[in-house]
Amino acid sequence: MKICIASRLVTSTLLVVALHATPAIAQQSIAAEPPATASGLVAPAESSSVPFAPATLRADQPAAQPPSASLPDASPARPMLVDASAISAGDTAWMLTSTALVLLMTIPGVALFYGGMVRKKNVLTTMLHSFVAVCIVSVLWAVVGYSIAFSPGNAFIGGLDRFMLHGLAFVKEAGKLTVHPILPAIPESVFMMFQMTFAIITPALITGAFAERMKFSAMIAFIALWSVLVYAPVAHWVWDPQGWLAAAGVLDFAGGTVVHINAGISGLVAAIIIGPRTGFGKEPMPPHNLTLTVIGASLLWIGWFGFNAGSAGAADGRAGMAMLVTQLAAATGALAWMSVEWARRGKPSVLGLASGAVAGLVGITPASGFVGIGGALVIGAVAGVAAYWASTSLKAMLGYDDSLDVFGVHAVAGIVGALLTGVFAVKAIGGVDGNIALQAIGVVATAGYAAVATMLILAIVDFTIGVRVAPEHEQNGLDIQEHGEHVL
Amino acid sequence: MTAREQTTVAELDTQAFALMGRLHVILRRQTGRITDIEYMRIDPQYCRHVLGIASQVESEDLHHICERLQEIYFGPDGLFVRQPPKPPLLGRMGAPVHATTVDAPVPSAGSRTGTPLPPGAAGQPDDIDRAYIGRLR
Repeated sequence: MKICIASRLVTSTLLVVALHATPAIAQQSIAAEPPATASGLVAPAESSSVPFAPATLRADQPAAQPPSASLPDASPARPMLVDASAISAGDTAWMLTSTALVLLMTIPGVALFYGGMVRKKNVLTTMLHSFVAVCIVSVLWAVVGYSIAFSPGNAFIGGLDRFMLHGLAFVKEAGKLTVHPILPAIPESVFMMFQMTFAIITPALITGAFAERMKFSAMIAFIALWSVLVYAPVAHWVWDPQGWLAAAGVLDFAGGTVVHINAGISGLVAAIIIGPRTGFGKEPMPPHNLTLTVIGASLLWIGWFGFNAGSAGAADGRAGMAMLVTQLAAATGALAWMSVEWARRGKPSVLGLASGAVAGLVGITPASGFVGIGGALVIGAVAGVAAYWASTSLKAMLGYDDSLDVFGVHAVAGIVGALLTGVFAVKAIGGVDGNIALQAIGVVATAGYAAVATMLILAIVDFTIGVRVAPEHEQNGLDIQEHGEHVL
Repeated sequence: MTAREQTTVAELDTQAFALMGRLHVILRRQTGRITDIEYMRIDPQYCRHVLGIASQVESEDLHHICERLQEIYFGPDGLFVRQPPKPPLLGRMGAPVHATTVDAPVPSAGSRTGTPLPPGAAGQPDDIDRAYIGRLR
């Protein structure tokens, strides 16, 4: 019965997609788009919470950007067709690089980071969760996610203008291509791809919370639904100039709210709903290979430069500052975790240092385009200590089985970073002052929506497919039971 | 017992285990005699008895193994000399159930051979494993 319902859902989705796919998308879009007039080119984002907004206003904008680019437009910002000369080669090159760096964070970064922390019998399936997230979200982002997040709609959700990427075009002979108003100096295809990598890593992070016990089929359904129903709308709230949190002035430079709080809270809810692993709290569940985890954390650290500095949307001074504060926060996060752990337990652990670095990176994410050196050092240190406390004391106190501490590291460090962005934002760097009350609103709204939506999605998945593997499968390991393979 | 001594004991125990495995196979092939390796490790009398039988068999390999086992278990620093023999298995079976399910350290990769690791010694594999009960970090 469950399989039948799930099968019908998939079939109907595929039919809808197939009916909308036409080979003449580019031609239609060219005909549909208005000519590239001065007034139609760019509507700079009004709120600086949009990470890319300052890129349209910066002083060192390359000459390739047309003078008309700064003209305001009262209508909602929508992608438009422009002359190829409006594209900045330097910015585009950096954004292409950043896109690859952010994808590197998921595969192999998160895959290795998580893969090393689970027991040997579950390493393949854990790594596969990240891999399959890349596949699922890539398709869904192109079909509907990008449109919901970044095409004009209302304050809470985008429209379907870009359904199946309808209208996204590059016409070589005419020398025309579409750009998104948030980043008018790079092709829309690059902007869309860059955003896709953020959409990919977010559900991949959640998989760590329910590692070692969720059905692979249920996980696929969960990621698909969550990506469209949770990630895309929240990205619209925070990053699209129309979004209500962006309009309110909530600052999130690179995804502290959209990615990390969203993923961390959803992970906690999923871990609680799915329930603890068999034997949790009674038998040891040691990480089987921390070498993989250290390699994964290192790749995450490197990829994070694309995540944060790439969110400047340009190869400019702000990107440089974002990269600098990212490095400092990661280092202080690792050192802070190490210090607390050393003081409390007498030894600094390898996993602790790697986790502290990730916590520092998470903490600086929302702040990276807004804060200076001092802010970065404080945010990194506080995020490291807070994540340590949440992953050890808080977890023990509440007794939930968040397998790989997605909540402890991502949600808690993300909340610390989001709130402290309101404290340490420097107007000279980001163009705005921070407001901790506004930041708190952003945190609460995102956390509340993520929690409720995740509960509903898991209820649907549990009803149709069932979320949890059989106890004997869990005992034997998901690698052999779900995939028929295992690591020797 | 110092950490260095513990390591030495663990190494000797591993060597003995491997030698007794070979001894078991050769004795079975050549004489049909079946030996109990685990019992050899915990009962000095049985161990001496098996070594005595093995040394009467015409096999150069077996003689070398016997000499080495004699040294490991009954030499000046032998395992049976260093520490008192463990109680026999039947005796251990009579112990209270909770002693094995709750108090006994959980087997870990570091104690595959059954080498006794002192409980509570920080940094030992069993201790590390127990630290992962209910938490990862």
